[in-house]
Amino acid sequence: MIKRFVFMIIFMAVSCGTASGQQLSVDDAHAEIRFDVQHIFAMTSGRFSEFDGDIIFDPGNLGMSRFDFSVKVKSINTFNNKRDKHLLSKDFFDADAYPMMRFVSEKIIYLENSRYAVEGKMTIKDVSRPLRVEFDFFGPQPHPFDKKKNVYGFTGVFSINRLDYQVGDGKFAKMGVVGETVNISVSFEALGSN
Amino acid sequence: MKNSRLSETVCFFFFFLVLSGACTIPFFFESPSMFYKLGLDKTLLRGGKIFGILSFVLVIFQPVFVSRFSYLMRVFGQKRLMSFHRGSAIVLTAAAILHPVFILWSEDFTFFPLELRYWPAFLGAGILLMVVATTFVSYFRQRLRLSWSIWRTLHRIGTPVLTAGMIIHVLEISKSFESGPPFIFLLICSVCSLFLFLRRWLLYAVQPKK
Repeated sequence: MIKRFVFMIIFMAVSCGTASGQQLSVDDAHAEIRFDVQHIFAMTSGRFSEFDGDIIFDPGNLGMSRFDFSVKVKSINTFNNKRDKHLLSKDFFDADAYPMMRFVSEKIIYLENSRYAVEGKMTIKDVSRPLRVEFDFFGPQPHPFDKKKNVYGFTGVFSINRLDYQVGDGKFAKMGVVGETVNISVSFEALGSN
Repeated sequence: MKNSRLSETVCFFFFFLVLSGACTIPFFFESPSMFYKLGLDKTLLRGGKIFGILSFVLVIFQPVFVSRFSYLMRVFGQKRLMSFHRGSAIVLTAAAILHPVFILWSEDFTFFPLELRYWPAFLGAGILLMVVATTFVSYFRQRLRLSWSIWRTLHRIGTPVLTAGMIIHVLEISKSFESGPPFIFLLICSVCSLFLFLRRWLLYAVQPKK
């Protein structure tokens, strides 16, 4: 009876491991979320430096692959302290009330070559909307500095309308000062055991 | 008598001219942060800046009241000058408290993230604590059982630090004071403060010890 129980546990663990794909961890030192938005005529750029990613990705098993990203709003940096403080206020992100942004995937589709698309829900300021992001996947390949690990690369570019998520009430857009469309670029390396 | 009244009026006129002139800076030299504020928020931000400038100018004037300039002693007398010093301390403390309240209010009390890059704001918070502590201790010194000599020593060390901190805070946090007349005003205030503190230290150094 005990032998059967142990066998079942081992079988379940092994089958889960193969079916669910590889759990990857974001390499913080080589990960960035950048954005740019129009300010009157010029583009103003910035980035979010603190985010967490829960990634399971297996190109051979996209059904079990998933992305779950949480971004700390207060980590915004547009290289201008006063602007950052203003962006955190109720005029834009209201970071005290809504400290995190989140993207949770629902479906991952293979497109061509290294190109994939992930469809899921983006939540900013408690407003959830469907979002599709096309991205390039690179690797895996053994990490040059850590032979026990594989390195994976993900790069994607997409746009959102900030007013869809109530990031601003539109007064600055109407004045022609801050654009509605925000271009976002996500690029990161993830590590998994080989 | 007539001359003394005229001198008093001239002194008060100069004092209020500097004070009111400084308070017009947020109107005539708007910083970019003001551009993005509308309606009540703009008024609150401007109000906060005015309170900050008011507090700063009064801090700069504080040593003038107690520097024992013979002209001022003749016009006002030491007792009145001391009462100006104490009264001004209350006003500048109130203005210093209202300064961050109004500025934070204009952004719905969104606090600064605890990051090193916001150090000028945290320096301001430190200065505010020093201002409040100085005024509190000066008014409740006897209840706190602090001897006059200890209080005077602390005050003499603390106020130059506080003034220097305030100058750095203004220079680093406000775009208005980066150039033009506001910068020249800040420079004059800094030089005057340095002169007043040096003069007081020199007088203290040469006066015979009891």
